[in-house]
Amino acid sequence: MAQIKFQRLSSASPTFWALVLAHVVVLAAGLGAALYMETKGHRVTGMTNQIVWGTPHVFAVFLIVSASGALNVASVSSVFSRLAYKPFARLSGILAISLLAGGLAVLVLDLGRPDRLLVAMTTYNFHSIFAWNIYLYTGFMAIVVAYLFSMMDRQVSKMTAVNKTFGWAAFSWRLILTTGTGSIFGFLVARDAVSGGIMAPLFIAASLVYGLAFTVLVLMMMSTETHETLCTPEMIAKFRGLLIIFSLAVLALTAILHVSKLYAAPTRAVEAFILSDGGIYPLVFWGGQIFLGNILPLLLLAYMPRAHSKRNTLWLASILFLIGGLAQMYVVIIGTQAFPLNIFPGYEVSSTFGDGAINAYSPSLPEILLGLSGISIAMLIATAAFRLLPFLPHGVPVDAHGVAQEPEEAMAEAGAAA
Amino acid sequence: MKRADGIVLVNKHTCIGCRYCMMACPFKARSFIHENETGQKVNNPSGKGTVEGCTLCVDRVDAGQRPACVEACAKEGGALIFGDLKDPQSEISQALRKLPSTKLRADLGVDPGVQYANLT
Repeated sequence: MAQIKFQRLSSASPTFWALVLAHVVVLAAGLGAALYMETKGHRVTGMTNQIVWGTPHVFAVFLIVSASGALNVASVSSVFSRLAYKPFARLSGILAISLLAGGLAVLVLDLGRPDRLLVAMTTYNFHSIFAWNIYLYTGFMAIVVAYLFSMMDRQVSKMTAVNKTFGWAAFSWRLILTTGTGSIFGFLVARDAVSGGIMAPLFIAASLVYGLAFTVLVLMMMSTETHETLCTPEMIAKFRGLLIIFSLAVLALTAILHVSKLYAAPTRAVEAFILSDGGIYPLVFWGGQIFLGNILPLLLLAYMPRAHSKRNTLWLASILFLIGGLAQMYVVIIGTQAFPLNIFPGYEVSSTFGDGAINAYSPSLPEILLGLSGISIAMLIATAAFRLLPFLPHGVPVDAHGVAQEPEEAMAEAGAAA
Repeated sequence: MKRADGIVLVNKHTCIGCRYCMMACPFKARSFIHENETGQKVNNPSGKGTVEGCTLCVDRVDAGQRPACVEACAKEGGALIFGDLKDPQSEISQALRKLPSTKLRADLGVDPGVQYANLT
C-alpha cells in the first residue's frame, strides 16, 4: 500500500513570481477602484437605481459558487471514499476557502457602506435570504478549516471517523450554501427571469463545474511549479468524466429553467428578451454561456485527442468552463435587471423612472478591476497557503499505467520538501 | 423597518448599502444614494452609500400634517388621498369603498399600503 506525502510549494521560478506579481497588481488596482467608488460614490460605476447589482456581483457570485464546488475533490475522497482523490483533498479544501474569501471581499468592497461590516454581522434580519447567506458563508469557512485540520493534524488525521464526520459536515454545508446562493435569485419573486426553486439546483450544478475547473487549473499550475505530475493520467480521466457530467447537468437545468418560463404566458416576454431580443444578453447567453462555456468544452472533452495532449485539452476545457460561468452569472444577474419589472400586470406603464423600459448598463473600469481583484485575492491566498503549509501532494503514487495506488490511511509529510 | 402605523422606512443607521432590498422590491420603491448630496432636508437627510425610499413624510405625519405631495396635489385638484386605512370613517377608507382600486403587484399578495383607482 502506497503512502501519501505532502509538500509545501517551494518553487521560485520566474513564471511563478511573474504570476504572483500580476495578481498583486490586479489586487492593488481592485483596492484602488474600491476606494475610488467609496470616495466618489457609486455614480462612477455603471450601476444605477435600475441595475443595482453590476459587474462586481458577477465576479463575487461566480467566485462564491466556485468555492463550494472546489470542495468536490475533498468530498469525493472523504464522503464517497474514493481514495484516488485523497492526495488532492487538502488542495481542494484550501482552494474552497480562498475562492470564498475572494468572492466575499468583492461583495464587501462594493457595499455602499463597507465600513459598516460589523453592523451587518451583528444586526440580524432573518427575513432576508441574503442575510442568511452571511451565516452560510462564515459557517462554511469554519467547517472547512476544521475539515482541513482533521486531514492535516498528525494525531487527528489518524482518526478516520473524525475526518469522515467533518467531510460529511462540509459536504452537507456546501450543498446548503449553494442552495442559499441560488435562492438569493430564486426568491426574487418580482424578477420573472430567475424567480423559482430551480435556481438552487442550477447553482449547485454550476458550482460543481466551476469549482472543479478551478481545481484542475490550480493542480496543473502546481504540477508545473513542483515539477511533478500531480495530475496523473488516471485523474485526468476522472476529472474529464466529472466535468462532462456536471456540464450536462448545467445544460439540462438551464433548459428546464427556460422551457418552463417559455411555457408560462407571464414569463414569455422576459424569456424572449434573454433568448432573442435583448441585444447583448442573448449574445452572452448563447455565445458565452452555452457555446463557449458548455458545448465547446464538452466537445473537446468528448473527443479528447492523443494521450499526451489530454492535459492541454483538460486545461483548455477548464478555462472555457470558467468563461461560461462568468457569462452565466452576467445573464442571471444583469440580464435579469435589464428587463423592466412588471409593476402593474395587465397595464402598460411608462415614467421618468424607467418604468416599462429596458434598463441600460455599461460596466465601468472600477467595477471590472474590483471584480478581477476577487480572483487575484483567491489565488494569492491559495498561493500563500501552499507556501506556508503542506497542502500539495508529493510523489503521487501511481502504478506503471499511471493509475493512482490506494493510499494508506496514515499520511506522512515529506520532510525534505516541507 | 415597519412602524406601528404601517409606514415602512429604511434604517439609515444600519443600512450597509448591499442593495438586495432593491433587487427584491417588486415596486421599485427604493433608491440608492450614488453620491454626496448637498442641501439636505433636516428631517430626512440622505446618506451616500445607503438606500432610501419614500417616507410618506413621517415627520409631517407625526406632526398631524399630510405628506407634502398630498398637500401640493390638493392645490391642483387632489388626485392623492392620505389617511388611516384602519379607520372606516377616514376619507381614504370611504373613497376606497366608492372607487374600484388596485395595488402594485396585487398578484403577489404582499399588501402594500398604496392603492390606485381609475387606472386606464
